Amino acid sequence: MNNDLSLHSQFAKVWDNLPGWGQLAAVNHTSISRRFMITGAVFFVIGGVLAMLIRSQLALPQQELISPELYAQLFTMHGTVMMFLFAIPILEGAAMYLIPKMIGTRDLVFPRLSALGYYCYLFGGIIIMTSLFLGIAPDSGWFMYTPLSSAKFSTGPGSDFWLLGITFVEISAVSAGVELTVSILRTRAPGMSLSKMPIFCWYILAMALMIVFGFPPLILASILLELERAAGMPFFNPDAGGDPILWQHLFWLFGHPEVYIIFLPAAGIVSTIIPVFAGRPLVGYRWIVLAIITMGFVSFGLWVHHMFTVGIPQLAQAFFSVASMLVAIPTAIQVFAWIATLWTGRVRFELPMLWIFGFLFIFVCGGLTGVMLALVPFDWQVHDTHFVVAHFHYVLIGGMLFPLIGGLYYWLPHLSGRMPTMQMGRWAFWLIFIGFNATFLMMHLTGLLGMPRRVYTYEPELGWDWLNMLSSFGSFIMASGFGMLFLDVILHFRYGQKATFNPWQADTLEWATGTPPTSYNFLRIPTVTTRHPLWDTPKVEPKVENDGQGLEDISHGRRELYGTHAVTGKLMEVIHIPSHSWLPLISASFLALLCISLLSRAYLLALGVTALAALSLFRWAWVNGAHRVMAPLSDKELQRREPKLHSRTLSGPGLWGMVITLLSDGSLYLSLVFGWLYLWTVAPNSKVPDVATVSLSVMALSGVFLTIAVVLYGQIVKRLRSGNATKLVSQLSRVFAFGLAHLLLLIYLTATTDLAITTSAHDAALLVMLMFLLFHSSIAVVMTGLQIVRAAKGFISQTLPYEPAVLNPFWVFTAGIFWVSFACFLILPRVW
Amino acid sequence: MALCMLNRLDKLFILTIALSLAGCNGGYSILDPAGPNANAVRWLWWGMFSVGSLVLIGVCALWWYAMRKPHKDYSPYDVKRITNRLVLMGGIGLPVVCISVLLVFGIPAGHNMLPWPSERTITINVHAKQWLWEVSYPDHHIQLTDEIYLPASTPVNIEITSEDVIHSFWVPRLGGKMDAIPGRTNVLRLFGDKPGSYAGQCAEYCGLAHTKMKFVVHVLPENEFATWLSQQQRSTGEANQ
Amino acid sequence: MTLISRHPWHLVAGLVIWAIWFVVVYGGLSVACQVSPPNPEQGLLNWISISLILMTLGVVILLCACAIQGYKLIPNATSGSRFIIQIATAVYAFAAFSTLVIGFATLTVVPCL
Repeated sequence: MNNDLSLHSQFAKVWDNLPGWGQLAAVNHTSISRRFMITGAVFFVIGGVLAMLIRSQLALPQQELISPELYAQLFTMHGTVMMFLFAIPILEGAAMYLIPKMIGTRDLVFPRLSALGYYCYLFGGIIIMTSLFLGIAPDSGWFMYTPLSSAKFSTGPGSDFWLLGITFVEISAVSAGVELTVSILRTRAPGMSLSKMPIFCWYILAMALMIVFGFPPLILASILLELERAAGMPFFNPDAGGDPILWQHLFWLFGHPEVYIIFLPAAGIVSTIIPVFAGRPLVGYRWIVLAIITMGFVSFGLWVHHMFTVGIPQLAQAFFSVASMLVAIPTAIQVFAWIATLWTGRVRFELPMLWIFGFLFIFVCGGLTGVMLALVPFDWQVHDTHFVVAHFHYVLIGGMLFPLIGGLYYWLPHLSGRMPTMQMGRWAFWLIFIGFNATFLMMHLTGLLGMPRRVYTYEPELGWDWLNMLSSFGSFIMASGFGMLFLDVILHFRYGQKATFNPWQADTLEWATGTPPTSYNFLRIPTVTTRHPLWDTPKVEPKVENDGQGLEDISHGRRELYGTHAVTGKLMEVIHIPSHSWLPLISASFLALLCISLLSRAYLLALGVTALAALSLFRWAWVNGAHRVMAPLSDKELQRREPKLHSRTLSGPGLWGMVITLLSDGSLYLSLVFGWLYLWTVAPNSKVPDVATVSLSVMALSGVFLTIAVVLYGQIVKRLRSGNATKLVSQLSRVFAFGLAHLLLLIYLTATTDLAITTSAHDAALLVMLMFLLFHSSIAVVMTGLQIVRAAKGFISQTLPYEPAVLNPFWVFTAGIFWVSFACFLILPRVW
Repeated sequence: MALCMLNRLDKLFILTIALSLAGCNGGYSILDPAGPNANAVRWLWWGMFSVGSLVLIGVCALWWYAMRKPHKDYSPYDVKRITNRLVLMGGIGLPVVCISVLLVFGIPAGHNMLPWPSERTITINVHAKQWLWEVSYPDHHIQLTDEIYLPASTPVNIEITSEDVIHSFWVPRLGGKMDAIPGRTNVLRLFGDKPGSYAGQCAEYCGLAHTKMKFVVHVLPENEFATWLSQQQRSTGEANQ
Repeated sequence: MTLISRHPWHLVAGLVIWAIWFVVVYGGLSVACQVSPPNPEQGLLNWISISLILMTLGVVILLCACAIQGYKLIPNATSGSRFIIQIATAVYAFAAFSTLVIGFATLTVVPCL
C-alpha cells in the first residue's frame, strides 16, 4: 500500500498539468474534456437566452419588442450556437472524458490534438459571439442558404463571421473525431476485443467516424461560399454557371448526419445507464451494434429530405423519402432492446432513470413526426413551418439533451466525488419536462395552422396567438427548470454526500479509476476478460503473464499507454505520448488571428499570420514521432518486461491517425468532385466545360514526377520494413527532388493558366482543385524535406523506422487525388 | 361563482381549440383545405396522427410496465426469447408495418399532386422578388402583384421563378409549397375546388420583410374566371392604347 | 466464390455497397433527367427506370449472396470471429433489404417528373 502511495506521487509528477498559467499548456484528456464541457454549458446558456428573446417576441401578436433585423440575428445565432457550439462540443467533451477511462487506458492517443481542438473551439466560439455583441451577427438562418447569405444580399460581415468561425470550430470537431477513432481502435486495455467493448464505445466510434466523413462537405461549402463572398468566385451564382442548390446539397450532406452525430452518443448514454439500473447486462448487444452501424450509414442517405421543395425529380425524392423512413428501424431496434433490458432486469428508479424516461417519451414522439415528415406530400405542406420547428426540438432536446442530463447525474459522482441530491433534481426534471412539452407539443398545431418559421411577428386573428402564448409560457418554465438544474449541480459540489466506490454498481471500467479521477486514470493498466469487468472480476488487475506489467513503471518519466490490436485487443506495443505543450495554444492563436484578419479583409496580415501558423505547426511536427523530446531512449527500456515502444515499430498510432485524417480529407476532396460534376451537369446554366486553358502536357509531366516520388517513397518504407535503413538521406533526397519538380511544375501551371474565376463557376472550381493539389503537394514535399534532416539527425533509422510509414499514405493520397483530378476535371469533359 | 367562472373559461378554452383545429378563422390552416391536394394531406395528417399517438402511448406504456412490473428471475434462455421477440416484433415489425401502411396511402396522394401533362391546365407565372410576388398570365398578357385569380376545378400550373434570393410559394389551403430559386423554374400544381379567397405567404426565410411577403389567391367559378380574364385583357389593351 | 470472411471490413462492407449504389442511382437519375428526360406520358417503363431496376436487382442479389454465405459460416465460426461474422451478416441483410425497398420506389413514380 505504501508502495502504491509513492507510486501515485511519482505518476502524478509525470502526468499532472503544470501549475498556474501552465494549465493553459495542459493536454491531459480529463482536463481538456472538462473544459470542453464547461465551455459547452456556457454556450448552452447563451443559446438559451437567445431562445427566450425569440419566445418573448412571439408571445403576443404584432409585438415590437425586437426589430426584424435583430430577430433574424437571434434565430440564426440560436441555431448556430446550439448546434455547433453546444451540442457537438459538449458530446465530444463527454466522449473525451469517458472513452479512455472506459477502455482502460490513461489518455487519448493524440493529447496535443485534444488541446488544439479545444482552443480552436473556444476561439471560434468567441469570434462568432463577438459578432452578436457588435450587432453584426449572421442573419440568414443557421443553414445560411445562398444567395441570401452571399455578398449581394448580406452586405455586412455577418456571413463571414459564420463561415470562418464555424469552419474554425469544425477543425476542432474533426480533430476530436480522428482522435477518438484511433483511441478506441488502438488503445483499448489488453484483452478488450471489439465484442467486449462497452456499448458506449461503439456509439462513440460511430459518431467519431461520422464526424470524420460528415463534416468535410460543410467545410468545403464554407470555403466556397467565403471565396464567393471575398473573391467573387461565383460557385452559387446561376448567372455565371453556379447554383444556389449546390450549397443546400453540401450543407445537408453534412447537416443530416450531424443530427445522428448528436443522437448517437446520447443513445450511448442511454444504453450505458439502463443496464446499470436494471442490474443486468444490456440484452441484444449485437442487435444494438447492428443498429449503430446501420444508423451511421443510412443517415448519410437522407439529406435530400430537407430539400423536398426545391424541385428535385419526384423519383429522387421517393428514394430519400423511403431511406428516411428506413432509419426508423435501427431506432426502434434500440428502443425495444432497452425495453427488453428493463423487462428482464431488477429496476432501481434513481434520478438518471427519470431523465431516461423523459427521453423516451419525447424522442419517440419526435421520431414519429420525423417519419411523417419523410412522407413527401405531407412535407410539402409542413416544411418550413412551426411543425418542423416542433419536430426537431423534440428530436434534439429529447434525443440529446435529456440523455445528456441523465448522463450528467449518472457521472456526477465521477466528476466531483459527490452524489447528486434527489429533491432538486426531481424538481428540475419536472419543470423542464412540463415546460418543454408546453412549449413544443402544441407548436405542432401552430405549424399545421400555417405559421411559417422565422417570422418575427404575426397577425392576431389567425388562431396562432394563444398557441404562441402557451409556447412562450412553457419556455419560461423550462428555463426556470434549467436554472434549478444548474443550481443543483453547483451546490452538489459543495454539499453533496461523498460518493462511495462505484456508487451505482456499474459494470464499466471508468468507475475503477478514482472519483474524482487521477490524471493518469489507472496506476496499472488492467487486462480485460469480459464485457462487464466490474461485475465479473472482483478486482481489475493487469494480467502479468501476457508479457505486460500494466505499465506500472514510471521511472523513465514518459507518459505511456498500451497499444492493442484493433479487433482482438491483443497487446502490441507501448505508445508514448507527449506531455504538456504550449504548441496547441500557439498554433490555435495564430489560426484565430488568421480568422480575424480574413474577417477584417486584411489579406497581407493574413498571409503573414498563415506563415506563422504554418511555422508553429511544422515545429509541432518536428518535436513529434521519434524526436528525442518524444521518445528518449534509455538503457533500461530494453530490459523491462513490456512490449516495444511504438516509435520502434511501423504500425503505431501515427499511421492510424494519418489514415483516418486522410479519410476525412478524402471526403473533403470527394465533396469538391461532387461540386464540380454537379455544376457541370445539373446547374441551370451549365455547359460542357472547356478545358483548353489548362495545359494537359504540363499537368501530365508534373504527375509523372509525382508518381516517381511516390514509388520511390514506397520503396523506402518497404526497405525499412525489412530492416534495411542504409542510405536513407540520399534516398529521401531523391524523393524530395522529384516531389519538388512536380510541385514547381504545378505552381507554374497554376500561375500561367488563364482562368476567368469571377465570371465562370467552372473556372473557379478548377482553381480550387489546383489549390487543393498544391496544398497537398507542398505539405508532402516539405515534410519529406524535414525527414531528410531527421534521418541525418538519427530520428529515422533501423531502430526508429516509424516516421516514413506515417507519411507514406499521405504521398499515396496526394498522387491519388492528382490523377483523379486529372481524369475528372481535365479529361472527362474532353471525351464527353 | 369562482367555479362558474372557471367553467366558463374552460368552455372558452375548449371552444378556441376546436375553432383552431377546424381552422375557421385560420387563413393559412392546412387542416381546413379548399382543394383536393390540400384535402389529401389533411387526411394523411389525421391518419398519421392517430397511428402515431397509438404507437407513442403503446411504447411508453410498455416501457413503464417493463420498469415497474414485479421482478422475476429469467433463465438465459428466457432472456433470449424475450429479447428476440421484442426486437423482432417491435424493433423491426412495427416500423416495417407502419411504413408500409404509410406508403400505401402516401404514394397515391403524392401522385395526384404532380403536374402531369394535361390539356385542361392553364399556366401562370409567378416571379418572386424581395418582397413581393409578380404574377403574370403568359397567354393573356395580364400582370398582377401579390394577387392570383384561378378558375375553380381546373388544374393550374404555377411556374415559379425568383429574381434575387430563394423564396417559397405557399397557399396552405390549396396545397403544398414550392421554392422560388434564382436560375430555375419550378412548377407547382394548384387545384382549388371551392371558390373563395385564400391567403398565401412566403415560407422560406428571404430577408427582413419575409414576414410580410404575403399574397391572395382568388378561386373563381369557371364562368366568372372567363369574364375576369376578358375584362382584364380589355383593360390592359386600353392601357396599351 | 467466397464473398465473406472474418475480416472486420465486412462489418461495414454491406452498407458501403449500399451507399455506392445509392449515390450511383441518385446521381445517375439526376444526370439522366438533365441529359435526356423521357416523356412522363410514356409511363413507368423507359430507359432510365429499366436501368435503375436492373442495377438495383444486381446489387440486391450480390448483397443477399453475401448475407447467405455469412449465415452459413456462423455455426462453424470460432468464438473470436463469430461476433464479426454475425454482425456482418446482419448488415448485409439490412443493406439488401434497404436496397430493395428504396429501389422499389422506381416502380411507383415516373422518373424526371
